[in-house]
Amino acid sequence: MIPVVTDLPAYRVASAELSSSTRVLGGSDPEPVGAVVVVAGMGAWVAEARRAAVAGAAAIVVAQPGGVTRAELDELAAAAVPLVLERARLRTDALGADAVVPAARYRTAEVAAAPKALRPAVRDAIGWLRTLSGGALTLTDVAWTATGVLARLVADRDGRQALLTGSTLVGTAAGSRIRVHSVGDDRLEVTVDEAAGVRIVEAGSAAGTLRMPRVHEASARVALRRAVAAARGETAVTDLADFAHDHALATAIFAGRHG
Amino acid sequence: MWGVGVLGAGPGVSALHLPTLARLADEFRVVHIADAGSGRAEPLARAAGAAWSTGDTALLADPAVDVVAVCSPPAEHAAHVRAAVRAGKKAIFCEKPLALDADDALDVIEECRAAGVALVVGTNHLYDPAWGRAKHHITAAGGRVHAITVTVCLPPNDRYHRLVAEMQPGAAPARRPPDWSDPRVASAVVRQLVLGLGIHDLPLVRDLAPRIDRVVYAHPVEPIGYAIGALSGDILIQLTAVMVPEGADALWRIAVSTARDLVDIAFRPAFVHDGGAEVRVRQPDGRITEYPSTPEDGYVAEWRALAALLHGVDVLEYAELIADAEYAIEFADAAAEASFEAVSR
Repeated sequence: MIPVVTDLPAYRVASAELSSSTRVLGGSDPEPVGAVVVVAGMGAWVAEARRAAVAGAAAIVVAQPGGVTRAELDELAAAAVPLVLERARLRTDALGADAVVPAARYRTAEVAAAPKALRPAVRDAIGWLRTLSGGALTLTDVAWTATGVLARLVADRDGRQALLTGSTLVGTAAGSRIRVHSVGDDRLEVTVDEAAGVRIVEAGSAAGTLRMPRVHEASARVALRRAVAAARGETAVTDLADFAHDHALATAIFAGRHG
Repeated sequence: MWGVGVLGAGPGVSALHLPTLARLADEFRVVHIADAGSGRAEPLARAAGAAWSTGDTALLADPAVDVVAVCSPPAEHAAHVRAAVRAGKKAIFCEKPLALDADDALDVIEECRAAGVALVVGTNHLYDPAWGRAKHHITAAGGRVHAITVTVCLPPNDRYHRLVAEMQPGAAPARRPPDWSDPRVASAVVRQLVLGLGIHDLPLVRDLAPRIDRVVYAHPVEPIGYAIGALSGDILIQLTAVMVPEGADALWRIAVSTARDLVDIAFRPAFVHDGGAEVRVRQPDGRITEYPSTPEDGYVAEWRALAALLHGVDVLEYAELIADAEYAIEFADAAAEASFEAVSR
């Protein structure tokens, strides 16, 4: 039974759904030693995560990580504590347990989001491109308009191009949509639509189109479960390195934005 | 009933225009088919009860031919259109592209205009009823267009040829990948692909993004394809296409992102007569509206448009033809230049 330190309702629920593995510690200042500590990913979340690591947390979960600097990411990496990042738009478990991503001729990502949400949405779209590419990408071209961005990246592993468009939707309430496509003889398309409340993965081949089963497990439960496994030494997690990659590319893309 | 003379006897004729014209037997009858020496015209013409010949002379002189369908290789289109005008034909249907350079396109259209000859260029996606519906939605919803992406992935055409024609053996040559490492080859092939494949959708792109300000990137895609990013004012344009040896059903999708709605237009594969494109609109609150496919596709619609011109029911906008041709050639030239630079690096 691993203790969990959290005041986030979604993670209290997640712990209740992992009742044989976890229990939420009570009290006003619970002891983090040996616990999975959950940090809300806003404000000074990096400092809070670092404090938890220094205090002896067995693993750390960051719920929906927000803005961060390169230096902060490097500090977190030095903490040497398993770090799980809950990125609700990047549920790669939706690909299926035995997912085989087909070889691509090229890949695309279309991102549409409210202006303030565009950057994190682009970051998560890059995460999907990285997942479908099987590794890191390199940015080659960027161009901005008043309402969007065009970017070209290349996958380091197979040299295939990944073409990204990011455009703004009016209204702060407009939910984002990310659509990522691996285009080739066989195809795989992922659509994550916050407004429509859907996450669809479809694989196309000569046999037809297969829609992957919807993943029903709550995002927080997935993150907590992964953190427990990492804390026990059962699995290694690469969330921070993956996030650093996606964040760096998104930063580079947005560096060219004017106004 | 208008007599149609077809210049060309390749798969674009046997698997596209002949089956299409068979669906318009109340308006058109194929009376003459001419090849350039392949001998393919004869069996097609015999099956249609039409005359056949080699070269364009006999066909253009045939009094039974009212309408000339120019389905020859692209490099010959402009010359064949001119010849048809000078032969006094009433109307011309020309497969895309109309011409390979802007001056030729302008000259040809002006010649048609001066002679009062109706001209339709076979950009079937433009005539697809779905496009009119999608454009109306985009305009009526009031959201400014922010991005246009065209995503294309095509298996070999013979998969679809055999659904609409009994093909002659060897009629569809295999595609050989070009040497993409040579910048001159890459540039020339990208230009050719834009004018042969991208041109299906460039008139639609022009409807929303009337000018090309800058090509941001243009690269070949192996084995045969391209990836092009461009800007038109504040509108992002991304065109991607690849021809693959096998695999999934053809993908041909235009996605338009406006300030409010995300509109998808998914076209059916080329050659088949399986209805118009499907239109799907995603609104800011997540509501999804799907418009049904129409029974009539763009191939039938473009020939009906020609019939409407012949009947005097519709008026030909020559200026729009010029603008479409110039836009496509400008885009192709800019993409060729950008891909030359990219491959040279």
